[in-house]
Amino acid sequence: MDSDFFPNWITQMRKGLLELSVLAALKGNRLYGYDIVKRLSGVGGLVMSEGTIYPILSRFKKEGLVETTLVESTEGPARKYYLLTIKGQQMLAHMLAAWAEVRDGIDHVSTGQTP
Amino acid sequence: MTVLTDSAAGRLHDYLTQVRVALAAHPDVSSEEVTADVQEHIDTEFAHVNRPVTLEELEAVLARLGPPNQWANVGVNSQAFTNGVAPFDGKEFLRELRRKSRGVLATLWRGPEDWRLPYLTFGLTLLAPVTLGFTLLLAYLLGRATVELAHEKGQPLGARRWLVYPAILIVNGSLLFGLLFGPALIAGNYAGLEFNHAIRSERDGWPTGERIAKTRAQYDAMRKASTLPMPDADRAYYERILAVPRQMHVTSDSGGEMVFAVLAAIGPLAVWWAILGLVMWSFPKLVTTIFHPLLDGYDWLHGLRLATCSGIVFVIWAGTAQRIW
Repeated sequence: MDSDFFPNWITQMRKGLLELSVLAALKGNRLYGYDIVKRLSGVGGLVMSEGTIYPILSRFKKEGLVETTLVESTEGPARKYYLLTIKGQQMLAHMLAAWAEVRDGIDHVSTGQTP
Repeated sequence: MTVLTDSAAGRLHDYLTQVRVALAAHPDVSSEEVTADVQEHIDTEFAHVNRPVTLEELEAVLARLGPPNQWANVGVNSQAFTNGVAPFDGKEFLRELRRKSRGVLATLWRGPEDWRLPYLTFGLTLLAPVTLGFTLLLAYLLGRATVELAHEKGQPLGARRWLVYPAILIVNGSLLFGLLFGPALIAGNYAGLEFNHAIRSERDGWPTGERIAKTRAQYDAMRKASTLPMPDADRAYYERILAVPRQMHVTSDSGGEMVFAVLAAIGPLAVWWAILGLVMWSFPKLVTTIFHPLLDGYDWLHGLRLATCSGIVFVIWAGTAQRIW
C-alpha cells in the first residue's frame, strides 16, 4: 500500500470533520472567530492550520448556516460573533446523526457485529 | 488595532493579500470577510501587547494560521478522495482549470508583490529573444525590485530566485564581462585588423624583410638630409611600411594574427583592469549596488588586489613588448 495513504486519509478525514466541528462548537454558543479557532485547536489533530476555520465560517454564512453580530468589546474594537441560524441547527443535527451512523457502523464492522 | 513594526506591517499586508488571492477563485467564500477575520484574529492575539509587534512575533501567529493557499481546499468542496487518487471528471477538471486561471490572474494583477514581481520578471525574460532584449531590461529592473522588496521585508527569496535570477544573471553577467574584457576585445580586434592588413599588403607585393631594411636606411638618410624628395602619398607609404613591427615581416598566417592580437591586447587589458581596480577600490559601494546580489561579498580589498596584479602584469608586458618591438 502506498506509504502516503495513511497521512492522506487522516488529512481528508480531518477536512471532512472540521465543518461538523465548527457547527458543533457553535451549538448553543455565540462565539467570535478567534474563540472558535482556539476551541477547535485544542482538539488533538483536528485543526492543521488555524486559518482554515475562517473560510469555512465565511461559506457557512453565505449558505445561511450561521449569522454574525458585531458586539462592542472592552479589549478593543467590536468583535464579530457567530451563531447558528435555524438552518444551521438543522444542518448540525443532520450531520451529527450522519456522523453517529457512520461511527456506529464502523464500530459494528470492526467488532464483527451486525448493525 | 494592533501596532506593528514596519517590517511586520509589510509582512501582514502581504499575508492578507495572499488570503485575498487564494480565495479569489472561490465564489462561495468572501475573501474580504475572511481577511477581516484574520485581522481580528491577529488583533486578539496581540491585544495585551503594549508596544509595536515585531516581525518574529507576527510570524509565529501567521505560522499557526498557516499558508492561505491551503485554506480554500478545506471542507466539502474539496476534491473527492478515493484511495489517494481523484477520479477524473471532465466538468470538474474544467472548473478547476478556470479556478486556477483566475487564481493566477489574481496573483498577477492584485499581488502579493512578492510573487507577482517574480512571475512578471520571468515572463519578460522569456520574451527577451522575441523583443530583441528590450524586455530583458524590464525583467532586470523588476528582478532587482523583487530582491530589494524581499530584503526590506527580511524574507529570503526562496523559490522565487529561480524566476528572478536569470534576468539579473544575464544583464549583470553581460555588464561584468563587458567591463572586464570589452576594451581588450576591441584592442585585440583592432590589432588583428592592422596585422591582417599588413600581411595582405605583403602578399600583394609590398616590400618585406630585407627590402624594408633598405627602405628604412634610405628613409633615415633622406630625413637626416632634411629632404624628402617624394610625393606625400609615397612618404605615407614608406612610413606605413616602416611602422610595421618586425615580427610581422616573418609571420604571415592567421595564427600569427591571433598571437599578435593576444599579445597586443594584454597591455591595454592590464591598464584597463588597473583603472577598474582603482575605481572599485575607491567606490566599493558602487560595485555592490550595481551588481547586487551577485557581488554582495565584494569589498574594497578585491579592487586593490585587482589594481595591484594588473599593474604588475602591465610592467611585465611593457618590458617584454619593448624587447620584441
